[in-house]
Amino acid sequence: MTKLPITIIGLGGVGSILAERLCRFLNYSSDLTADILLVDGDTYEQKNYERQEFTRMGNKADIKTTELQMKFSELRFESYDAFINETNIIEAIREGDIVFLCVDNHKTRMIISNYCKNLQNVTLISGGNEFTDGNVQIYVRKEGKDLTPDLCAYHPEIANPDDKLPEEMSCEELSNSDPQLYFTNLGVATLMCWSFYNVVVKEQYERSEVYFDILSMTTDAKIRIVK
Amino acid sequence: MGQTFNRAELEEKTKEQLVRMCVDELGIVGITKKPKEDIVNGILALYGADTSAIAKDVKGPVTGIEFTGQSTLTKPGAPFGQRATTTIHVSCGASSGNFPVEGKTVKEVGDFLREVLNVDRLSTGLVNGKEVGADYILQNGDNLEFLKPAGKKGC
Repeated sequence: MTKLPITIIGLGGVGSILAERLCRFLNYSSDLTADILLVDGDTYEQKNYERQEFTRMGNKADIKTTELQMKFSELRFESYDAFINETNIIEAIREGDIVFLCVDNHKTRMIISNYCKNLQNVTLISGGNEFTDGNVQIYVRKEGKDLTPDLCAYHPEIANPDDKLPEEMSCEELSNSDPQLYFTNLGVATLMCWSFYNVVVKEQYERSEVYFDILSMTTDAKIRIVK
Repeated sequence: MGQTFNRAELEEKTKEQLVRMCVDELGIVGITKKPKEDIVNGILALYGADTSAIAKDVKGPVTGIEFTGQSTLTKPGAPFGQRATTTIHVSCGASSGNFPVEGKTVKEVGDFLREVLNVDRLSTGLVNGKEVGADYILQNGDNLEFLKPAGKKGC
């Protein structure tokens, strides 16, 4: 039985869906199990009803940890009530981790991608969306060598983000977030599960970025060259 | 187009039999007065079943075949050899298509397909996975991608 060290960062529209599906797969797998760290500094509240899967109000990481532990007894869970920044990232990501990044800002993506570049072994699966489309990027690093490009390599908008970390935003900025479609969050979560299956279970990562578009009913996976 | 043929079975037939096949069964026009070899090639181009169409020139066992479709039959009524137009696969995000843009620059293609593929005005072009300038001229066999920015939201 292989025990996977997994960290899920961000438990909103994408992360809360992803966590349930991933844990169901792992809990009933015959050869895989996991220690799972759930990370989010945000609070689940009434405005999240339409897209996010929680049974009560409170810190998202704490609630989801309790919920998942009750459902999936073969797995071990921990929660971390924090937004990730350059100081506390060391608490969340360690050597050899499989990291699912489900946040809503490029600055966090940039910090985490750059941090992972300094690890010897890490798998980073990052998803994001707009209203009806989205993408997932896979960054795999083994024995100190990039097997796929990091999140910034083909995305200058992540390398030089024009947004802020959640902790840098005012209450007004936080409450004025753009509307999102539940199905688009679901699409990102699904493609992140596909990515996990390809990379971790099948060890194939030739296609390290995939886009989807609900309106044109299409997905397209890209082969990216490590620069 | 359910019916398919391979080279060996076509070459067994006489030229007259092949002409009758083209006219009566396959609806192929414009090649029946050509030499037998051209008729066989013409049938294989439209109804080729497998790799036997290229097997003649292969030395040793075939260990793998990579094929990228680059031609589209845009003028089916034209004489043989003039029916296909070379197209280049162009994508942006999840949207893609094959377009007759050989000889055009990346910038021209970006302008031309901006609405169709939702190409951002500042998007970088990748040809066969490598970054190119806006003045790069597309060639037969190229695969062009306009980089689409990553989705930002998710929480």
